[in-house]
Amino acid sequence: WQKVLYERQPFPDNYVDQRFLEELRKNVHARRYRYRAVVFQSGAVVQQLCSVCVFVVTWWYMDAGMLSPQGLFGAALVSSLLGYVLFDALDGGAGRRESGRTRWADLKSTLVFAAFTYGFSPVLKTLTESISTDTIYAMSALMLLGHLIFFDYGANAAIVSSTLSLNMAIFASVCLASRLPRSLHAFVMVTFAMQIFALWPMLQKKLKAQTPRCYVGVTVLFALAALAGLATISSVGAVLFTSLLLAISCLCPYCLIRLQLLKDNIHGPWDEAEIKEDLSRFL
Amino acid sequence: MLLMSWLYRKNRIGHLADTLIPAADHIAEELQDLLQWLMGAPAGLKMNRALDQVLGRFFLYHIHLWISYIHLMSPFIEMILWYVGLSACLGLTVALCILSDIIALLTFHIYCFYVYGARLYCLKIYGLSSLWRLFRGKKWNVLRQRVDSCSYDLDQLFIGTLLFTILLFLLPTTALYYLVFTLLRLLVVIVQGLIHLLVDLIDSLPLYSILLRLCRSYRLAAGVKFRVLEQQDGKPLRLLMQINPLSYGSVVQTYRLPTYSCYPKDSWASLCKKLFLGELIYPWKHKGEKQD
Repeated sequence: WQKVLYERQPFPDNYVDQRFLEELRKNVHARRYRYRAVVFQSGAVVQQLCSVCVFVVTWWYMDAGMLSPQGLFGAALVSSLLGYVLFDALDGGAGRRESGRTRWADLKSTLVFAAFTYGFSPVLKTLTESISTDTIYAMSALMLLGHLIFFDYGANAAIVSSTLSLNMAIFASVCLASRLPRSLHAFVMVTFAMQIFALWPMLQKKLKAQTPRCYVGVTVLFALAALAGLATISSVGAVLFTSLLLAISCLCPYCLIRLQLLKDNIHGPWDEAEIKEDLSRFL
Repeated sequence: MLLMSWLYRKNRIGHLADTLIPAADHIAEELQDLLQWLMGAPAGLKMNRALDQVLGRFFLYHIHLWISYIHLMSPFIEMILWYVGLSACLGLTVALCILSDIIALLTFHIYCFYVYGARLYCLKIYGLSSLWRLFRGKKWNVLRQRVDSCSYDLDQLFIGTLLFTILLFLLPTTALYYLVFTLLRLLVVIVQGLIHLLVDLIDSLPLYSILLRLCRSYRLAAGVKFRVLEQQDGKPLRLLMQINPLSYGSVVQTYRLPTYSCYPKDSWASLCKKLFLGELIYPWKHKGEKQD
């Protein structure tokens, strides 16, 4: 028996011999994950969740009047300066030299942003006056959820769009900030949102790349701070949040590794051909 | 002529002038009421109070200016109308056209409001569409005439999102003002269009031919008919030929004069698109006007 169909053979057309599916290969490209590495990488998701939580807790305190805008502004300013110095100190100035961005440009963009927000804060404050509170809460929740979905956690997926996630976070912060009593509150809230959603992830990425141990420590501390803040508002929320964080950091990696064993991809000579050589030498 | 004689008898011009000023005042008062209604919460819609007040006060001030202007002109109105009425001896169509122009002058402030509202709305829509593209991280590529992805700087993103939020929440207010003033303007335009249509109709009526058909109908022939006169033996057949006059309908159709007919410039679809985008509309186009 020959494996051709264009010659008349005494066997039926669908006959196969004992060499059938000899060239079948299973799970050639499957990745073997290690538990600790996956838990380490899931720290990025945990970070973002805690950022959102801290932002909402801060807004809640400001709305209830327990946090003064001047206090928040001072604290945010101090931590921003610390983070700024740390950012450059982490890799010894190599990143700044590569990107060619001067300190003067940084200062300029900060000033522009601050002036613009301060000038528009009265408008921002009265923006959602006539819209009902439920709508505002729903819109902000939706926008923050979108921020979490589209965030760039380091995965190379098509859904990732860091621009969209940042814009959604700023939109949510403007919606929430317009509910605060005075325009100074709105200004401080928007500035805080900018710091926690744009500058903090940048610092964290660098920290993760340079010093993994510090990164783990900072993540744990941040999560504890978020939990503590949430616990003072609502204990049910704190319990739910704890379970969510534990599920994401411990349970999901375990599930991933277990389910990898059930993977069943088959490869063989029937796959589409992939050109592996570099064809530019023929050009 | 009839119109003129009727007008000048019994000092009708004086009456007309007397009613014109209160009519203009009445229109202005109606507009003021409308603006007050808009400045409140019209039809339960949610408007931004601050912007509402600003726009409403601006338009109210405009109306106030307009009323002062009308009152300033009121001593001269009667004289102007008397002279203008004289031109009615040039024909009914002239009087109708002058009426159309007077309507345009009286509703000039509606036209102004429409232009203000349309420009504001157009600017807002343009800004919103551009900032929505920024929100998604894309940009309009002018060279390729398509939407491309673009990596923005951090400060561009912030300011863009802030502006987007502001414009988005102020959209219902502006849209409402635009809608109201566009409807008013369309009303005026329709009235003017009707007057022009009437003028057209009168212009193209072949009066001379109709009078001819009435009085000397044998001049317009549609054919001949024969009548047999009494038959006598041995004599040849005698027939009487009579001319069949044209019917009135075919008289009008055949002798219709060519006119400056005006017809709508845009189709319904492009009109709706222009209204949605806030572009200014000039709906009537006259035959013989330059195409742009």
